[in-house]
Amino acid sequence: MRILCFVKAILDPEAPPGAIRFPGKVESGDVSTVLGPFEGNALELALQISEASAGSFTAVAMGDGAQDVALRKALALGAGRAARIDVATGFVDPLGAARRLEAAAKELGGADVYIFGRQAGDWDMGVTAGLFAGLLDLPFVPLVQQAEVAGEGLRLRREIPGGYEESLRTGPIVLSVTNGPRTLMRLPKVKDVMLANRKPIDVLKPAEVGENLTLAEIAQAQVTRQSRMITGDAASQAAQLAAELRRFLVTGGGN
Amino acid sequence: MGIPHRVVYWNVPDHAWMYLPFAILCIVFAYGVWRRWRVWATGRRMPLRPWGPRLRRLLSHAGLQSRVVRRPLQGYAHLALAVAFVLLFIGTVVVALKADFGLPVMQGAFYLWFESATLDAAGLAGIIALAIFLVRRYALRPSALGRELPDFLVPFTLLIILITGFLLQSLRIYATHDPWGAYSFVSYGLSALYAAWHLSTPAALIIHRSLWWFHLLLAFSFLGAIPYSKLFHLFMAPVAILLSDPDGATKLEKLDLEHSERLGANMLTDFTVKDLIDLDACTECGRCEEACPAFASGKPLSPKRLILDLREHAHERPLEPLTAAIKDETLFACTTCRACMEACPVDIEHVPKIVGMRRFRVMEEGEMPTGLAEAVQGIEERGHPFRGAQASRTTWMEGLPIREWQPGEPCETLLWVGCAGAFDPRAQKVARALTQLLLAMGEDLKVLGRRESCTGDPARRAGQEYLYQMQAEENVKTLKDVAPRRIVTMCPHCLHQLRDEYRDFGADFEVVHHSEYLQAALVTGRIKAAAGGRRITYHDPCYLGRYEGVFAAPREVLKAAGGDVVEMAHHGPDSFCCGAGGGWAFREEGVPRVNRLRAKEAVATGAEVVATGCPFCLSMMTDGVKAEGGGEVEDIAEILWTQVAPEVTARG
Ligand code: SF4
Ligand code: SF4
Repeated sequence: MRILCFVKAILDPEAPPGAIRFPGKVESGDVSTVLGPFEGNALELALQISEASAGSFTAVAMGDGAQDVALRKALALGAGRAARIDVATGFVDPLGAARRLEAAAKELGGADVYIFGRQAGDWDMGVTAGLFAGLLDLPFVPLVQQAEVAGEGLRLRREIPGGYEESLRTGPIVLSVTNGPRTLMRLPKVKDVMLANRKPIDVLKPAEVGENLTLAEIAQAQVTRQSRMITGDAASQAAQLAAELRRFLVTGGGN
Repeated sequence: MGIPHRVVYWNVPDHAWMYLPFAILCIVFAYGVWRRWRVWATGRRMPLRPWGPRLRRLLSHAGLQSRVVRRPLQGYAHLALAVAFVLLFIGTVVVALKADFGLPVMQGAFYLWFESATLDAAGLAGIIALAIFLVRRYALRPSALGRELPDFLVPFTLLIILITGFLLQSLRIYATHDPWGAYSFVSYGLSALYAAWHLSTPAALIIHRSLWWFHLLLAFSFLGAIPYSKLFHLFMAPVAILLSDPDGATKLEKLDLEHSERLGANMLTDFTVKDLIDLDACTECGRCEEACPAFASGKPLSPKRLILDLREHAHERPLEPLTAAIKDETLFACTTCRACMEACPVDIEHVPKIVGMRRFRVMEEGEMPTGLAEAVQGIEERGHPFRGAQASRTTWMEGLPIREWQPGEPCETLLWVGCAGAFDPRAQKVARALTQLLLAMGEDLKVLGRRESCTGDPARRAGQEYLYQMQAEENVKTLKDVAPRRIVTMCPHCLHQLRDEYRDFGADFEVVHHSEYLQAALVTGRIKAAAGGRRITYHDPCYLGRYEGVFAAPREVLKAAGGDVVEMAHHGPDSFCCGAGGGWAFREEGVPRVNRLRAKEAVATGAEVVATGCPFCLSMMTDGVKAEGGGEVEDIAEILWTQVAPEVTARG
């Protein structure tokens, strides 16, 4: 099975509050760039499917050199090839992104399975995979937590409230992966990490796709914290608390 | 009476037959040694020079048995038995020199005072020592001592050999009316008994002859069993001591990542010759197990079992991977506290073996316990192991009059804060207290701030040597740019890295722990503390005490801060780990937890304050002492600052 796994490196989601600021544009300071959490799940699944079908997979990212973090991880985990669509990292127009990925997939010779993380950990839109499937006119299974190679096809499991559902597909497919016990990204072996650092990353020229959406404004929420100690005996504390809550519900927290 | 002497083989005319069992003994012994040699020879060679410290250690640990006698009763008994063994061996060689080579060595004063009196004393001492061992093992039944058949057979056989030796000698004295018999005072006393019992001379001769063969065959069997049993430590313990690292193996070996065929240890051949010899040197005394915090808190690790499992593996399945012998739960249970190595009387090095095997599991197979894996990933992705930290590298110093070093600036004193000091809210307070102390001393102080990154110690201890080396190289490069006159750190793990392990990466800086620096400042009067008066107990951090040998300075600081310092049951080199080391600070432990055991000891001292000098110990002990209903847990810098601050204010 030929597999394309799309990965993305994002600003460290664990950066302390305030470390990333966006007064009009994103200021990331010293915050490091790391592989997005759901892309880790996607890579794990790509690896499992490629192992089970005795194949290999190609990892694709879109953005500037900062994306190489994600691609090197993919190479260390066993990707046979890594390619980056060379565009400026920043706000993502999902349809534009899907088109560029579609063009890159074609350039790379297409695949049987296209794997995405459920959503990029920064802009959190979670629609690119679906749009991509639509462009390729392929079936799409979102939020996959487990995949098994069944003959020529794939058996894909998703969680549903109180249980799970499995779908079967023979033929090309697009899927997005979420976190679960079977999609926890394994630790790469150090030998592979060392080798990965020496492997080439192919740089692809982005397809001309035109803008569908542009960023008009980006701003940070103003968070104010107000706290006050309620004192007195238990009964009076309870009464004061009730009064505070009532006031909060009426005014929405304003004064 | 002539020259004092005795006739050898006097009642055993057919004694020449003894060369047959002797020949068998030699073959069996040689085969046993060869079997083990085969294994050692596969180990990696390691550097041996300089020999000086090694020989000194051999004299102290093997010759004087300085570690064995730390437990006085069994220790001195063991020393007595060892000396007796050597003396009796010399006595036997003297007999052989006379009987087989006809040398006139067994006569005169030497015969009377050495061959007779001294050897009798040695035999008696040996019997007493063995009796103590047997009583301890079987009547007192300490859990660290095994009670399998060989554990009984070894001392028991030796006891029978010594007793039959005395019986033989006494029968000879009795039957020959030996005029010099009284010099063999124990045997002579026994022969007096035979007289009282009216034992007939022919009967004495028959008993003597049978007993002679019994004694001989038993002694030969015993000797032949040496290379097949724990008795082999007689020979291998001195070798293990001689080959042990002169620095106590506190520094882990720098792994050649580019050229190693395998990263870490998974086959016997990945171990060093010393590692393999260790397996045969273990006396099974169980002292390491008694000292081990992982074992005490019920984790599936006993350092003694680890060595014995590896020994069995080496002899039964030498070509199989080590993962067949040691489970991951065992490997990753170790806090790397070195208590086992400090306790081991024969200098067996457990921690390098454990970390060696971890390296394989982590780097070659990508296996690491959760919690630890996240912490290590944190180091890789954001330069520190504290997941979910709410702070940046400089949050802790907001409002204090210090700033980050800027490129091109000279740097007098660099405060290496460490990840805990920067990201752990409790340790941030220590960093602030220490900074205030250093500023009060008029120190020209800088910090690296955003340029500081984890030393990599947690990664290295976890077995992720690759990540560690990247951190080490980066940090050494930064520090060379800064070129500080000295580095002061409040974290013993950072201290161990910056002062010792980074030397393998080209570092050569003056690095001190804050306890050492503060103590020096108190001595020279650079800071003055107001009188205190609290009862304080001090918990020795493993990496400050056993790793870096700093025991006195923190206690001196506490005393200068007016503390009345009381000691816990385990302190100094015998201190008991708080449970944080080896990556455990970042993992979820089951119950009972190591910190609770340690906190119990602290609370039992009745101290109002538990002091320590490590941010990880601080956090572990805070949880433990709280759960055990004890008082405050503070870093020495905080305790001192409490006493210094009023003085600073008074001076204005
Ligand atoms: S280093 Fe400490 S935890 Fe590890 S085996 Fe030795 S005593 Fe136990
Ligand atoms: S390793 Fe050392 S301390 Fe542990 S049982 Fe063996 S000899 Fe004793």
